[in-house]
Amino acid sequence: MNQPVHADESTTDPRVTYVDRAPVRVADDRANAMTVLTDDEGVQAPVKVDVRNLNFFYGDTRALKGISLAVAEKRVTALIGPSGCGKSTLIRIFNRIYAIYPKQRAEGEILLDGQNVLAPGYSINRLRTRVGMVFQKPVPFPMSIYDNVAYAIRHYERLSRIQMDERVEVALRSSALWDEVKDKLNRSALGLSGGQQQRLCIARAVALKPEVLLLDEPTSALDPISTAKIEQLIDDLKAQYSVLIVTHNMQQAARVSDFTGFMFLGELVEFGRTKDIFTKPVKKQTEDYITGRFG
Amino acid sequence: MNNPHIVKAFDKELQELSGAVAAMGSFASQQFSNAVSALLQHDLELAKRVIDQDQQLDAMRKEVSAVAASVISRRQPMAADVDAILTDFKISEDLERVGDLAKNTAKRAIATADRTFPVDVTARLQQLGDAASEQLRLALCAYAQRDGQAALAARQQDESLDRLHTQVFRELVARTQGDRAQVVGFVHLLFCAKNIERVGDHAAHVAEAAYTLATGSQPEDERRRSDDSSLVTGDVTAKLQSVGD
Repeated sequence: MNQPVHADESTTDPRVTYVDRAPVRVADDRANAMTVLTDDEGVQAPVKVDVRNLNFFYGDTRALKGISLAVAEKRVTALIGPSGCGKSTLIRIFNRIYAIYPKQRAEGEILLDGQNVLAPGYSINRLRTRVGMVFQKPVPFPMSIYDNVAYAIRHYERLSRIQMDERVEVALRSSALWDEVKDKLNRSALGLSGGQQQRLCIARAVALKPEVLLLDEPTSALDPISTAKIEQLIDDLKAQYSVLIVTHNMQQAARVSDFTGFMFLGELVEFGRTKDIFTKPVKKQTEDYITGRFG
Repeated sequence: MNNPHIVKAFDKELQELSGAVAAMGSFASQQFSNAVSALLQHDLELAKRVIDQDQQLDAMRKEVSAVAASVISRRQPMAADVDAILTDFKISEDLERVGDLAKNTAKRAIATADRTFPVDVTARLQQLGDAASEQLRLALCAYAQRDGQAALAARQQDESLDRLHTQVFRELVARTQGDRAQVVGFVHLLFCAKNIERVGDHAAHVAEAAYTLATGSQPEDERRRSDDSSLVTGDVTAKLQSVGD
């Protein structure tokens, strides 16, 4: 039997915790802290974000335990796992949201293009423009659809009216919302449906032209049609962005992602190509979880 | 052994599917065994019953498909559960083909009911039929017990069945050359022998599926095909002689 080898059984590199089903990982350029992943189609993708031995604490409680994870560029990476496993905690560290809360701290490294975004010297403003985030519940600002998208841009850039119009349109087109709202851009965003509001939030995130897009349970509050539209959108977005999605919906992870990580009790139990994780998981914990068994 | 699912109904549905396949296997085996008996014992009633009952096997196959489709659409299975469902589905297809071959053999039993065949010929066909029945039984047991080693053993038996079929084929061809009056009857027997050999192939498929189900992987080696009947030329008498020498 050609049993896949788990990387942490075959290497002492502490940051390699994903399953090394050759040729998932085909190169490792330590000098630039970059690893190359190969997706289901056999296409190599450089790593955009390299998480190394990450620990996270809520006060004295250690919520994440030595997470090492590679997020491939212009691919979708999904994090799955039961409630409380730490997947939302992990995704929220990527843009340092935790920093606004007292007694929360992260240890380890998150290298974005080789630079540690957790380092004190790394500008939060810069980070937020490079790493966009969309939350579980769509929260449009109580203002017009147009201003919802323009708001964040104005915070970071000074654009002419024409340039702003163009940016807003591009963002709304990118989030597959333009055709539905182009004739009512000045109406309140609160009048949009839940699915439209979530796509507006995605438009708001992509308006800043981030490189990484974090999606925390983006469809959990949506109906199946709205969910399908978001999933198609995610597929479209990966042409431009590196997407990291947290989802409770395993079928969704299987549908939209190229790579999947299974987390349990603050640890990354298994990481690999989505096709492998959902057909031939290596770890029994992963198998039990994705097949809905008692572990 | 896998842990039970959190949703008990899922386990129940998977068991229902396995049970349907097992019942189908039992029925297909009986149909095949009856067809061979009808052929060799000139039992017209038994042959007609095999033919009539083939539609029951077809109905069982449709039931397996329906249950599998229901489980897939309702439970959205993953990983080993998908493998199990697909394996059940695949096995049901093989068993339906076993039924088709039994039906064809039964039809030839009716066509040859008024002919008398030499005892050694019927004994050889009985031997071939028994070997195929045993191989199918072992494959189905391996499936029911999720026993990978037993599955490999059942699969292995196909090799000797193939060799036996090649031998029977040669003998029957030789008979057609020696007894022109019985040519039509022997041609029917040639087809029946091939049907039996094909049942062995389907039993091997069932065994391979059972192995995959038990171990999560494919058998490491390719199954050896030892049926050389397609290489037999007209000069079989000489070849039989040389084999005997």
